[in-house]
Amino acid sequence: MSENMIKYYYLCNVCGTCRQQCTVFRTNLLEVFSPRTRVTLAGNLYLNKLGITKKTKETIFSCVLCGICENACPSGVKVLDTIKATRKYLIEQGEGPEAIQKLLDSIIEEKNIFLLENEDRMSWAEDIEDKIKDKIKKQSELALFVGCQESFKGSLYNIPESLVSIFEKVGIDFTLLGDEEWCCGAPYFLMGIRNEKVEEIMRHNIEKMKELGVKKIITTCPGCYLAWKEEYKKFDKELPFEILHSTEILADLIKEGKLKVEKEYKKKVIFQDPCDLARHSGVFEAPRIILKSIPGLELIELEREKADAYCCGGGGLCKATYPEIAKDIATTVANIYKDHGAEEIITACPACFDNLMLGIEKIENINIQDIHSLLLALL
Amino acid sequence: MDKEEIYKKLVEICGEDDVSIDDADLIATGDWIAKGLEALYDHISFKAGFLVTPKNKEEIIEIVKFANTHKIPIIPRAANTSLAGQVLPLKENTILMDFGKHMNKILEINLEEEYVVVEPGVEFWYLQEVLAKDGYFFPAEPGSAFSCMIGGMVGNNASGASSFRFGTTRDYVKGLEVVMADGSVIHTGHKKNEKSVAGYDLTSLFVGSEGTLGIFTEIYLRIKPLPKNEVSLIVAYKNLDNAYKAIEIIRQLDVDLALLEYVDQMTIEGMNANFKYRLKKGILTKKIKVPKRDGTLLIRLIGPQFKEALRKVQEALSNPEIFSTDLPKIQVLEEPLEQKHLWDARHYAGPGIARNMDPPKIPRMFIPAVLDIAVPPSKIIEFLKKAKAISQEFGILPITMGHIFDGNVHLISAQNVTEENLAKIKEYQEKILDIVYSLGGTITAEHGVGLWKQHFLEKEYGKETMEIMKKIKRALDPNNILNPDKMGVGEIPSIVHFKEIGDKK
Repeated sequence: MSENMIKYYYLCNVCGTCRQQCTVFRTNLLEVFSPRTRVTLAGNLYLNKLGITKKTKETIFSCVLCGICENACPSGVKVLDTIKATRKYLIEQGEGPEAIQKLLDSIIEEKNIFLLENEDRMSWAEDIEDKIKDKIKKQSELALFVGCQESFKGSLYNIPESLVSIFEKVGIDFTLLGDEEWCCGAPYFLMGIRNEKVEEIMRHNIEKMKELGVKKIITTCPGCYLAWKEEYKKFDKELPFEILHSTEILADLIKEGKLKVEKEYKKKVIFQDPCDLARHSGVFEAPRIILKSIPGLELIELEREKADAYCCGGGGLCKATYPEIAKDIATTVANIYKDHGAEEIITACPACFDNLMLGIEKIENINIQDIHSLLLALL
Repeated sequence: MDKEEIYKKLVEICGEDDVSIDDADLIATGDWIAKGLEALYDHISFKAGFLVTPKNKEEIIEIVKFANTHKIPIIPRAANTSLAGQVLPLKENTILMDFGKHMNKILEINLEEEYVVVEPGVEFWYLQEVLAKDGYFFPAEPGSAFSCMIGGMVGNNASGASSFRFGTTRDYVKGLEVVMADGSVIHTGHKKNEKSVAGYDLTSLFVGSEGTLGIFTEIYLRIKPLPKNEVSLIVAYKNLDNAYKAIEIIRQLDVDLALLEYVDQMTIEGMNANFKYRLKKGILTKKIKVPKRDGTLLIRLIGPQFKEALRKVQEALSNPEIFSTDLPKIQVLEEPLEQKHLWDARHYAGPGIARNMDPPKIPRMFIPAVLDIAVPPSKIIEFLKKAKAISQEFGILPITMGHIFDGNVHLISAQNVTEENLAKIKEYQEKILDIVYSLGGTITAEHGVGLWKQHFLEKEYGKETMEIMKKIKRALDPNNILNPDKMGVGEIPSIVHFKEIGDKK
């Protein structure tokens, strides 16, 4: 049992300020899903004052780890650390959700989260084979780390495809690890676990990057980005790579005048700040630089913006076990955006794209678009 | 009646989705004191028997009738943000009735006649957001504005820093629909009338009754046009006595003052810690810092004449003939968002101090009986001076901040929950209360009596008055099912004395 389960228990004065913005609590308004109660449950489990109950598991594993509660908390309670430590404990007790366990096992066995064969990792690029065939495992200072979601999920192929096409237009050289790209390990980190098996995966990815002479790693997935930026750096303090999200490199290209959008796009849009990129990593401006460079596009900013921005509900692996909660969150958020006049939600994260797509199923006159695909279409 | 039978009946009334016997739903989550005592003592556990989330009045009536017949306790609970143990379950098989899940609707908004009708689970901030769209607000704002619900506000007659200007929740409750302990439904007050002296003022009786007399199912609230102009000031003197002088000067000025807060150095530390965090996170775009000086006041001026008021205040508080060399450092905050951050930080200054320290390794709690005392406003400075001396004697250094104009001061001190400390806390709060009562004050200006303060009530009111309160309780709830043993009208549990609680862990 990790001490992080109780570390913040006595610091939390249970004021309930966290309830106002908690992404999951807002969907059901049940005290047990509030951050302060999650922290209380973790402390009670640690003190052996509470057995493992169905609701305990539900509230601990449904947290989307967006971290809005930590912004709101006046005392500085680290709710996310508490939840991750509790998840780890529950999994060790054999009380983790089946869907999570399968996913974790798949990472070790198949090196991806989908129980698919890792040699099919380049499936996403089948339609642009000519653009990438000489990029795989070639020496380059810049590597594109595609991530499991975009590598294997057909509805997300357009994200890396678009980025590759933009790179080709601008003439940017890069490399891909191909079937040597293994899952970044993020699901383990979301469960508070860093064991030998995950470290082996991290070591593999690092070695493969080094072999190709990589100096900069680009990800389109903010989950992979955060894993590299935080966990890999903790694992290897000498990590010799600069980690960038794709929007950061694209924003730089726009600032340098190497990338210019000529076509007009007359739409009112809201940008969905991905939690891992914005709130957790402080990258707010890059995607806005891209969007503001598009003629005709009207970017709506809400009062709750940047570090306080709404979460789409697609993170923290909530969706793996509680898809209905994740979908409810996305619907709520999409409705808020629509009420603020948005015609389109622009995403820079596969999980945001995926979840918001489900969320808008029953909402008319609003759609979702990935920032890379939008940019490519307007070049 | 055994637990299984009660569960079956509750499910019959509300359906399986709205009744829980899962421990995670039943443990005490909203009370720091309870949490500390639970951690220190093995046998202490504040746990309900059932959580029900009724969908409507009809379900509540059914539950109450059933509970009354079988003498099962019910605690109506809104946002669970009370600070005196109001919603802590004390008895076995207690039914916690939570309104957040379903009974959270604004039923009517009437701008012409300036009232709204809401269910108890409507959140305060949400109501404000909705009303603001039409330029209105519900003016009784408590410190828990970010999370509290209207049902809880009415149940506790909630108020806050601006109450000297706008009044407390009671001033805005026009009437109530209440389910009584026998399941009957009554209506008090009038939704639309502005004036009525017809009969006993039952609305006033229910407001602040902490769930002991009835369960609110509809609340009629008065609303007001939102003040359009505002400006906030931080006024900092080096010397505390000059801040006291400034308070007296402001009292005489003809300005529309919405807030006047005294903040001590620890409060300032807590506020600045929160500013720093928000700035780092990008939530705050411009740096705000309160100077760490002994005599610091926070002021908010409103109304169409606010610019003139600002000039008057600045001039009067910087008068060299009065303040000599200790002229104040004055910061004027004009942007609405900046002002919001200032008052947010003031709300959460207490917990903010924790940002500068390592998380505690043993349980902590506030000293409950000194948390929100009030004395006659003219005695506030005398109280502050005497309380400081006692605090020093005990080695307790509470954060002191206060709503000066209504004589309400918060002495906030997070203490380690150890057996030794509990004895000290008990003695300290008794000594502070001696001063409060000697000055004609009250134990609770805002937070309520709940569980943790009820043993002091007799001292404040006398036996005869308490007997009348008990008679009212017995008349309206003869089986003592509604939030029993709270507010000094039931059997007072020995745990409130913080001594000889039992075996430690």
